[in-house]
Amino acid sequence: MSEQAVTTLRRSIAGLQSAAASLGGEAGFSLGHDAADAALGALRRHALHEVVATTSQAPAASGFIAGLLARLGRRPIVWLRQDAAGMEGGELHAPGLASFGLDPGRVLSVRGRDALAVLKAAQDAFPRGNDRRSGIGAVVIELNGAPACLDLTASRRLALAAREAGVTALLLRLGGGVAPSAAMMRWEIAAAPSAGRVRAHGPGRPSFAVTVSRNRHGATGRWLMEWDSHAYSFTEPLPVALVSAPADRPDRAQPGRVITGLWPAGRRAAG
Amino acid sequence: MGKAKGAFRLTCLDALAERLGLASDMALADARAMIPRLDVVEEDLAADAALLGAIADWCDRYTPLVALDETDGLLLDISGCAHLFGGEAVLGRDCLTRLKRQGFTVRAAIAGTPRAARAVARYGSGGIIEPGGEGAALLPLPAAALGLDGARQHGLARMGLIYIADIETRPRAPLAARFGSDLLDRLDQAFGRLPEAVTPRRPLPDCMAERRFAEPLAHEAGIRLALAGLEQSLSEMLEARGEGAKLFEASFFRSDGAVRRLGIETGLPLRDAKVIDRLFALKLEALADPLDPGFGFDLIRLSAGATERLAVDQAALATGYDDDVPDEAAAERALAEVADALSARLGPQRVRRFLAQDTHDPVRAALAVPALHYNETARLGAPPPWPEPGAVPERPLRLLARPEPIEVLAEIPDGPPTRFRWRRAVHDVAKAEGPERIAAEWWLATESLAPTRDYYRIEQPDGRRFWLYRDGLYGPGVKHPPWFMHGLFA
Repeated sequence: MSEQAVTTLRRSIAGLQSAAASLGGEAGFSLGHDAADAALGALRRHALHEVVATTSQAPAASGFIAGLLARLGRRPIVWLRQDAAGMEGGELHAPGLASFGLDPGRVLSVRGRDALAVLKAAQDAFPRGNDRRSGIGAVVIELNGAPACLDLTASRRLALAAREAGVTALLLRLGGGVAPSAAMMRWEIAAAPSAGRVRAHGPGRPSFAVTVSRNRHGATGRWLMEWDSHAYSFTEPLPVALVSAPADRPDRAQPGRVITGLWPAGRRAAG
Repeated sequence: MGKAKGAFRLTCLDALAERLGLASDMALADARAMIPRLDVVEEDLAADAALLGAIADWCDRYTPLVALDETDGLLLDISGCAHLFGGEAVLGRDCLTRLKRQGFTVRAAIAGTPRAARAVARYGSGGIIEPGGEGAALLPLPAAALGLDGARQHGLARMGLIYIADIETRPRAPLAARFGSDLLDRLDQAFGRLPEAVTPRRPLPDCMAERRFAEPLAHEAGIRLALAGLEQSLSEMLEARGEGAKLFEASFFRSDGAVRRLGIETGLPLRDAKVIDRLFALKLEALADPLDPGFGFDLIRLSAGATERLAVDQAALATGYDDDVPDEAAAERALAEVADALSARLGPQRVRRFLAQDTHDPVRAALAVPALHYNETARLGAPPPWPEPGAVPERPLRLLARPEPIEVLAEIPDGPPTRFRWRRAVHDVAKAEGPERIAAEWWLATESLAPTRDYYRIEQPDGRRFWLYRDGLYGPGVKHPPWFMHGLFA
């Protein structure tokens, strides 16, 4: 069986598992992380979820969103951003999305001049009469700072549009702090050190410190999660490293044990 | 007044100056000698061209086929349009009165061939030349009326061939030998023995619907209603042809002569009036300078271009058997619809989709193409599949538009960094993996272009992950290859 076929199968299995829970006619989704799923219950698909992070944790927050999108299935995705976002935090990198298990061919990347343009455009991203099986599946609204136009009314409008169109709305707020909103859940995301069991020295799987600080239908809490891009699932990081660290070699990556350096650049020994 | 052949010369005169005996192409010094108090204005070719363009836009009301003729004329192909206005005579009169009322001095001729009409309008008295009457109308005109260049005109005059009649009655072979076959071609075109193509200013629409208003329309609601009606008839026309269009243009002709056009582009061919209406509504809403009806629009036209075959939508007939696997075609359609709406609102450059590219260079690995052109671009070459997800992401989720220089402290020259400074903050490195060496393809690599890059994936103690690279290698003469921050991992 080709690698592609395996990937497709894995993806649909993840979709089946994730869509197992039902919430009064609407299929919910899960994270795959046992402890968090047990505490949070089935997550609402056709609702507004707010993902909050500081500016320096923007990549982690986008990673968590990429994971959620991969859990949600294979329907098309609209990702809206501000013009200035690319300068500060980098552009969306399609191979990076692919490495999370998302199909970049299904992602529509949209930029608005400012936060207001993004919010207005977001309304067009929830089509009327959206096909709930193959239509738009998720809309990511990425906003920097705390724009004045993102008030309670605006977020209520997003939540309503998400419910009407049967779309998952993910409001990604970077560096804006916590503000009142009509979101079903608020996820606060930061990067967590990765476990060393996949790679002995290098960074392991994407790891997140996830805090659910608001949940209209269940518990809140804080969990450490890893993204397993083979299983299309968040998992609990294992406490013990499965790969033993090599004993015969010093850990090169320890800071402070500098043999030669070139910083400040002028002072480095020649050679 | 303009500069020609090294001297200031008169290019255009008003009626009074003509009565005083001035002529165009006269040197300014001579003219000043004749009339010392001459009021001279320097010519502005760009403004003249813009004005002619505006008049041409206005002339679109008569026919979609309007062409520019030199710098001061317009050619209108009214074949098949004249009856809409009550015949050629009425159309010509209507056009002239309206232009004269706007303050222009105009002369027009209607003839069976473009060249004959041009000759009679420029060198004759204008008017309508009935079919078969070309000879009588053209023969007494000067040879210059054929639109010849200066040298050839001069040569004809030296041979005593002043009028078209002189050329027409002469044997053809010696003329062709002396002046080239071009001269005879022009002659034949004027008499309709050779066809002449007219190049319109604007591409001809495949399909269009228009509505004239006896009373100019000034209210927004009325304009929207009229537009909706046109969309409906255009949609029916497209359906009858079994086609959908990817370009739509609404032209609003204001009663005072100004013309405003609004264009819409879609990714997939379209003919549903409701969808077209929504796209125009978005476009109207997003206009930076709103549509100003002034004293009202007296003509609104909707045209469709870039038509393609569009089969009858049968998606409604297919019932879902499998609820979990989305239908590929339906998903593609949903994406295209949203992309069309967003492109109409934000502009096509702001709405993009990703195409995988067959290269290791991270900057070129994904092409972000405007969603409207995604299908055409994807069809150009089969895009390679996206990389399969590995155990650990190999590529960052976010790529900086421009790699940012960082200061790096490395344990050994060729090793990964242990500490670096980026955006004025110091970052420690807890884990590092690399190098992954990426060089430009050999057919792109030249001495000056992109040296080999050694990429490292690194993790800070707090868990933030970055993608850094060293630009170039250590070697003779290279003491400190620069380091750059290129991407951010989740």
